[in-house]
Amino acid sequence: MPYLLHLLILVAIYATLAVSLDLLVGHTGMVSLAHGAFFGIGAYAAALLAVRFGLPIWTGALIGMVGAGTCAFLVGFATARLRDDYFVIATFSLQLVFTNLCENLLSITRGPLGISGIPSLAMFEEIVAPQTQMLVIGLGFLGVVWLIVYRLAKSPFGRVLHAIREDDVLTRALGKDDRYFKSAAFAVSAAAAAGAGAIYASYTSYIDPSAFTITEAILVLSMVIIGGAGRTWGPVIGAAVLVLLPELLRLIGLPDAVASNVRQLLYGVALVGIVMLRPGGVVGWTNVHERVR
Amino acid sequence: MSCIDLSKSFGGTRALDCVTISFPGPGIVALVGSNGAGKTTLFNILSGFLRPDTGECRIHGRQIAYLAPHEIAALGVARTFQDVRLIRQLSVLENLCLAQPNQVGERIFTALAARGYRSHELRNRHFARMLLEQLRLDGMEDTPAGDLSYGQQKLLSLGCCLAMRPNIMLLDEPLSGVHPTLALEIIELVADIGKSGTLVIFVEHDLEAVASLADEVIVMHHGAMLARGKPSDVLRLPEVMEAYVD
Repeated sequence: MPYLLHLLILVAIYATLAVSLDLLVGHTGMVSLAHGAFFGIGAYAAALLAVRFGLPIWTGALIGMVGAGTCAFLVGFATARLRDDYFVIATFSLQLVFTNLCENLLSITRGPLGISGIPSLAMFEEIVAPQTQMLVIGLGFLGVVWLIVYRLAKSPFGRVLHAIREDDVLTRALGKDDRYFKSAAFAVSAAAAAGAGAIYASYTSYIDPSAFTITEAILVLSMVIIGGAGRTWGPVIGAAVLVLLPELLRLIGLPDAVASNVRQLLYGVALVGIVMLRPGGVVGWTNVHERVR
Repeated sequence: MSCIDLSKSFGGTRALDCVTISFPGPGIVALVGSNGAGKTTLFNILSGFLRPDTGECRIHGRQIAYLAPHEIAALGVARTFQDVRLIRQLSVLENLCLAQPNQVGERIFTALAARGYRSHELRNRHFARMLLEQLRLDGMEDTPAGDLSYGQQKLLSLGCCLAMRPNIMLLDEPLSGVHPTLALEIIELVADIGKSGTLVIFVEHDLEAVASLADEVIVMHHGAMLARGKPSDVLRLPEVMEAYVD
C-alpha cells in the first residue's frame, strides 16, 4: 500500500509539472526545456527557507512560486521574440545555469550533498497517515493547476495563446502584445512547476541537484508529447504512463542496472512511436470528427 | 496619416527611396506599381513590422515609425497580408472574436473566472455574428477558418480587420487569386467601408478594380512615388503605363 501511494504521489507531482508545461508547449507553442529549473527553484526555496530560516514550508513554497513566476516572466519577456529552436536553446541554457548554480553554490545549496531534513507539508499525523496527506496535497495541487490551465485555455486569454501558437505575426497585427501573453503563460507555468517542486521536496525530505536537471525537463516534455500536447487530459495521462512504465520493469524482475537502461530505451521508443504514429499523443483523436477530418 | 522622407533598404536594394505621402482623410486610396515597387514595404512600415532607415510616419500627429505592431493596431490601424493569414485551427467566429480590441477576458486574472468576462464575450460574439452577416459568411461560424475556400478566407481576413474597429485599413492585394464573383463582393464591401469614414489604402494589381473602387491612386516605381491623382487621370499617363509594363 505505501508503495502504491508513493507511486500515486509521484504521478500527481509529475502530472502537475506536465500540465503546467502544457500551457506553454501545447497551448502557446513554446517548447521550454527549463521546467526542471523551475521545479528546482520551488524545491530549493521551500527547503532552504524551512531548514535554514525555520519558516513554515508553506511559506517557502509560496515564495518559491512567486520567485519562479517572476523569473519566468522576466525571461519570457526577454526571449518572447525568439522563435522555435532559438527559444528552446534559451530555455536549455537557463536550465544548465540553474543546475550549475545548484551544484556550485556550496554555501547555499550544499552542492551534490543536497539538503536533508526538509519538513513535511503533512500536518495532522495523528489523524491521517503522512503519506496519505501528501497524496491529498499532491492531487489537490494538481487539481488546482489543471483547473487554472483549463480555464485559461478556454478563455479569450487562451484564444490569444492559440493564435500565437499558430501565427504570432498575425496575432501582433491584430493588436495583441505577444510578449505579454507569452511571458504571462511562462510565469503561470513556472509558478505551478515551483509549487510541484515544493511538494516534492517536502515529500522526499531530501533534495540534491540531480532531481532538477535537463533530464527531468526532457522527461516532463516527453510526458506532454506522449500524452497529447494541448489536450485536456493528455499531460496527466502522459505523466501516469511515464511514471508507471518503469515500475512494470520492476515487476518483470530486471536488475536495477539493466532496468534504468531499458527504461531510457522504452522512453525513446515511446516518443518515436507517438511522434510517428499518433502525433496528437495518447489521447489524440478522442474526438470522432477530428479523426474523420 | 502621413509619411515623410521614408527610406528603407534591404542589403543593396533600396525598397523605399525618400517617400513622402500624406493621406488627408477617409476614403479609398489605391497603391499600385509593379512588383518590387515598395508597396508592401510601405505597408510593413505603416503597420510596425519594419522600421524605416530614415524618415517618419505619423498618425494624428503621433510618430509611429518605431512603435510595435500591436501599439499601432491600438491606434486604429488594421491590415491584411498578401498571403492570407488567419488562425486556421480556430473557427470563423473565433477569428472574428480574437480580432476585437480591449477584451476583458484577455487579462490573465479575469480569464481565470468565466463570470468576469462572460457578458463582454457575449457582446463580442454578437458583434462577430453581425460581421459574419455583412461578410455573407453566416452559417459558417463554426467552420475552422482553414477549411474555407481561398476567396472566403480573404473575405474573413477583411472581416478580422473590421472587427478591430479601425480608422485606417491597409489591404494588401485583397482581390488576388479570388474568384470574380467573390471579388465583386469584396469590392462592394471595401466600397462600403470607404464610405463609412474609414481610410482604406489598398495594394492591387487589377487596374479595373482600382479604377472602379479608388477615390485616388498612388503609383509607386522603384521605391518612389511616380504619380498621384484620380484613377481616370493617373492610370492613363504614359509614364505610369511604362512603369507598370516594366
